[in-house]
Amino acid sequence: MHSDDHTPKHTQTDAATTAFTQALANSLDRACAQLPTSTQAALAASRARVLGQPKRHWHWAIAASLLLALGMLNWHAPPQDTDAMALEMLQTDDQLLNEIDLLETLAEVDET
Amino acid sequence: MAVLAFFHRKRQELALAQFLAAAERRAFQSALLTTRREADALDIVQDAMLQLVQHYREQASDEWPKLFQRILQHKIVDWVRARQRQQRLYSPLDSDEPEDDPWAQVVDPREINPAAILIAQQDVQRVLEALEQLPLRQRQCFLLRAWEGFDTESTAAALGISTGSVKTHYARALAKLSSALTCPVPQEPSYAL
Repeated sequence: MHSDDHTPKHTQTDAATTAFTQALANSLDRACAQLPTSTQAALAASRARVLGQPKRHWHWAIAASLLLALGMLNWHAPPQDTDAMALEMLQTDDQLLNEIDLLETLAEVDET
Repeated sequence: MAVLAFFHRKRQELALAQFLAAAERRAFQSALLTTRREADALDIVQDAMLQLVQHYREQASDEWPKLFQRILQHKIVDWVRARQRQQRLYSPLDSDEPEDDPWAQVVDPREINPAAILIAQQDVQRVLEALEQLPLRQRQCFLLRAWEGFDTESTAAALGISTGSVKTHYARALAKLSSALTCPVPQEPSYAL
């Protein structure tokens, strides 16, 4: 006996499939609602942990740490003796000038 | 400007918290159907939530469901692969389940019995067991299409497969579920004239 003779066949099957999937989805929703309290608490704790995570700024943290370390090293380094450095430079200059003079003298001797 | 940005960020964080609170149970149930172990399912859900928060918190909130499902389903697949690798180490001669002819498994939807649906509806455990029996891809397609309400394209994007594959997996899943959960009714003889 046909109760829906005027309804196309594919419409009937679509409706049956939709009802079936809807029933399954409802079952799954019910399964979610029936989750044990301990599981729900664990999920809530996970969410809280995840949302409490700071943004990933590790590269900035590393750069800042390096700069801080360099600053500390400079801070603790012994102060440089500027007078000694200037004297050293002058001595080096004198040495160079002497060597140049010597070379020029040798060249003149060669020419004569 | 800074104050506006601060309030925008706070509103976004609140919306994200609400989204995760609404999605976490379904995500857990999805993962549990595959892992069958609560601890593993919890780990997967937490990893998925963490990835969403770390990488996509600035995205528009209407993108989150799709992004979250994509991350979650990839995590589930990763879990299955890791487990398969682990099992292969112990039993290298085990082969994968042979692929049956998909069309041989397709059940005519007219065979779905509404009375049996109601019975199945009342028996949540039976539905969960039937879903557990499905292959991974079929289960994923079914959950995304029928439960999460994704269309074929979104499901394909979430799973990283083609729309054709989604349709095939979904049809197979429906066929298997209908044969597992419902009793076939006698065919009405006079459809074809």
